Amino acid sequence: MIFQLALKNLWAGRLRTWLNLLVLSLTLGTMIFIQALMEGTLEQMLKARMAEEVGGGQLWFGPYDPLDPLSLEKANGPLPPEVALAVDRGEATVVLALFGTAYPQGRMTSVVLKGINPNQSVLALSFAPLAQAPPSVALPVMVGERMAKQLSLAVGDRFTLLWRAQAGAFDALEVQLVGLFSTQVPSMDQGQLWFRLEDLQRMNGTAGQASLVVFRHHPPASQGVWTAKSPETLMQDSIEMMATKSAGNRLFYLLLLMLSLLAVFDSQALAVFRRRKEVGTLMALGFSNQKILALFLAEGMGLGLLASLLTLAWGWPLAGYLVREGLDFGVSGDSYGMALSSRFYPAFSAQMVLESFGIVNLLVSLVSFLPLRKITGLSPADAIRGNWL
Amino acid sequence: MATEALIQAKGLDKIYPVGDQQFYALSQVDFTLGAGEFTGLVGPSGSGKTTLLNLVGVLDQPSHGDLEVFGRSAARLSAQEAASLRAQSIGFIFQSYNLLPVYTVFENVELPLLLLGHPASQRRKWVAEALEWVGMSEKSRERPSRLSGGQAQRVAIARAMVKRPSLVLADEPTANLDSENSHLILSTLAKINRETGASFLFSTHDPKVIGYLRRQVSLKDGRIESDRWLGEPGQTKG
Repeated sequence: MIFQLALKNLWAGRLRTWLNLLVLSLTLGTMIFIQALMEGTLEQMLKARMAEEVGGGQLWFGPYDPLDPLSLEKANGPLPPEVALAVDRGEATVVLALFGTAYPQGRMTSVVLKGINPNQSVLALSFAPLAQAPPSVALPVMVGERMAKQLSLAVGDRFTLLWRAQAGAFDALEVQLVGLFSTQVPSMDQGQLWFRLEDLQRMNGTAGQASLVVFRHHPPASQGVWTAKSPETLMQDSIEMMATKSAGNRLFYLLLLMLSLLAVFDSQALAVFRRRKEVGTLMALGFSNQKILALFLAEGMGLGLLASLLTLAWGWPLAGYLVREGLDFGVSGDSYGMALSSRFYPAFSAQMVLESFGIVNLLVSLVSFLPLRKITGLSPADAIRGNWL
Repeated sequence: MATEALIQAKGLDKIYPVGDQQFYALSQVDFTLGAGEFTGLVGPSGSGKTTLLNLVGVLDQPSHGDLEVFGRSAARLSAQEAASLRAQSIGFIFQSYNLLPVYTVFENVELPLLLLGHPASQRRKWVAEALEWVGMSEKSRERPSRLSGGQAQRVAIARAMVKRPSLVLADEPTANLDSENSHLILSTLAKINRETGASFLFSTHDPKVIGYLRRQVSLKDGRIESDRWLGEPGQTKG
């Protein structure tokens, strides 16, 4: 009965009800959208990194540390036999990493030299120009589009490269840029020159050796100096960065939620004031204080529930569109060092939607209760007089 | 005298604090109301009529004295029990009708039955009967805002009577009505009193109401000044 009466009262509230519904629904929609955008961004970033950098996991040779260029000098060794077999079967691809200095157009820049099988298919990056380089090109090299832009390089450009080989001697050669590749993952692009694996192995004097192995699926367990790295470990930095950004966004939508709850509180307080005579009438009819409280609370809860339904009504098709088409913010994640394209695809989940609905409904009920506290101890005679507020 | 006492009050005081002073709204009131009565509490404003009506309707508690409502001590009733007693046995009619504006006439009258948990079929039947008693069947789908004062008060009577209470309390029921509507309302109430046997207790200073009463209890400054029968008990005028 209480809920039936509450819905009737809400319906009778007309403009007041609609305004509250609109504010609550927009807040709910924004909360869900922000979360979905963060989830989608993280998912998109992890997907890109798995496809173009991390694969299904990696094996790292001993001292290899991508964040410490000095470690690269000794970070290569022969593959364990079963890993070599996996590479032969196309289930993994090896990468050799060295530290060097490039001199494009007379300028000097530190670079990481990476050798990879140009015909590999484990990573979703195309190094075909390396394989297709004519014999006239002594040492073909590829860079990502970001790196080319940074060094003002174009395909066909030649520049000098200096590196320190395994034996300890410095060596220099002229390399020629044969192609550019496009990647969403800045760490595969910036500060890196990509060679044919056998070229780099020859330059370093370490045939058959590698710094890391990228697996299509799961890497085998660590063996000897080769340490297994799961995708989660390799992408920990991205996950942590998104968690930090999510916390910031949560603050934003909490602020939004507080503003809309203030509107609900205001409107509920006004409604209680306007309906104080009604409270007295209900008491005379035999409604207990608790029942009247329940009626007003049910109105608050009904408001939350209707706002949830309204949000589903407009949010469902909009969410479908955004998931399909994405949202172009006109800036790419490059500016933030993130592996992202300029089109963002939000990722919605039932849990996310239900949690948001739950939070909003709970808070709206609580906020609806606050202006009603006086009713709990109200005498019916005072209520009928109508001057208890 | 009536045979069965619904209300028995002895030595009732109702005191309100006014600053440092105490204001006696009621002082040493002894009062009994029997079944089937059509009684009025008569007196000028501030005489304590509405205060006594509120005490009888268990809307308020006396400061001192004994009050029994339907054989139960009002002082021992919890708020929940008092609400339940009102819901089941007492109907209220207010000066300004107090209909709920968002409900239709039917829904307003149905509300007490909803509260008592009557099934829908019984609710429909009893609401239809109550609206017929007051001649408002044709307006059952209207909202209170579209009713005249007389019509609204008749709906309020239907709402008070729909649960077939043993006692109906009416606080200045004709104060906002013109003469014609006042007589219409009063004759309707007298008819219901005759047909249902419910007791009616009015608070009024309207001579038109007094003309319909069978018992008049006059109050002045919170005390009962006189208590007299104007006709035979059980024989309603009008």
